This record gives sequence, structure tokens and C-alpha cells, in this order.
Amino acid sequence: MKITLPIKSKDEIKDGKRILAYGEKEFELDMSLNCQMRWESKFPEQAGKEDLISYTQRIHTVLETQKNLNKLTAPFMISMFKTIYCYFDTDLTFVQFLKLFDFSSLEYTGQLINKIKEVFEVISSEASEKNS
Amino acid sequence: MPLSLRYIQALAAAGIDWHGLHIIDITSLVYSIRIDNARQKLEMDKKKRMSERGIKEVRKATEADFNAL
Repeated sequence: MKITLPIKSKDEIKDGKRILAYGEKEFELDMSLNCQMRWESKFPEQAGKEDLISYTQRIHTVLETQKNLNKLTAPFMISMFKTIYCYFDTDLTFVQFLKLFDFSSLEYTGQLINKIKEVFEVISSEASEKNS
Repeated sequence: MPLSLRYIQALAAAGIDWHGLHIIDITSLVYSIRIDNARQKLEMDKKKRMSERGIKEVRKATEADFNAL
């Protein structure tokens, strides 16, 4: 399944001015056991304490209950990105993945978080009815 | 052993192909397999204890059994 996220396509300083352009990037959503394997290989310390499903559910619950998305803290945002990163079949490292996004614009960040919320909903709804 | 490998091991032992299955469904399947295995073990332990005490089987008593006492 493909999922598109808003990314920054250009971020450079030209003649003392910051030029920022936005675009979209398609990611392949992989919800098989491979995402748990990615969790274990990319974040071994956390994987030793908690499996990806429990982590995802915990983050999703906070995301669902938080009414004002602009109030999300930086550590929570990183946790949110860690989670979706494991569900994406990508060759990017986590730092490269984070660098795709811009957190300086409130409007863009709002759009991005809403899209990420959708990703979490897809992850939970794609399981069999009895398990989702 | 990483959790993913333990899951693969449990599913392979039960003859389930995990490829393409959703991670939530896999987790649910693995826990079902573990519950089944635990039930089987309890049943085997029960039978073992019974055979150690010389009991071959346990069945409901009939009226004839009471009369024969």
C-alpha cells in the first residue's frame, strides 16, 4: 500500500534568504512482520523493552486524545516518526527520514501530523476485524 | 532471540506462512498458539499425573456404578 506524506523538496539559503519549497513523497506501507524486524534493527534498545505493536498503540492513543496537535512535544513527535518509519519500506536512515520534514512552519506541521494520524488509523484498521 | 524470530519460529512450528500477514494478526496468532500449547501441556501433565497414580481414565459415574459399590 502506498501512502503520500508532505515533505520539503527544497531548503536552501540564497542571497541571505531561506528558500523553502514543499512537495510530496510516496512511501510503501509494510505492515507485515518486517516492520517488527525494522524496529529491532533500527531501535534495538527500545525494541528490547517493548514490541512495535504496543509502542504503536501507545503513541496512537496519545495522538487520538490530543485535541490540540500543535501542543505535541518534541520527544513525542520523534516517537511518532520512529513508529511510522518502521512501517515504511525505505532505505533511508532514520535521520535522513527526519530531514525530509520541516518543523518550522506551523501550517505545514499541522498538515503533516494529520497525515501521520491517517497512517496510524490505516495501520490499525488493516488488521483483521477481530484484531483491529 | 529477537521477538520477530520467536514469532517466525512459533508460526513455522504451527505451519503458518507469516508472509503478507498483518503484524497485529501475527501477534494475535502467536498468542493463540501459545495458549493452545499451554492447554496441551496442562492436559498432558494431567494425564501423566493420573497414570503415575494408576488411573487409566476418568469418566462420569453411572447409576450402575453406584449400584455396584
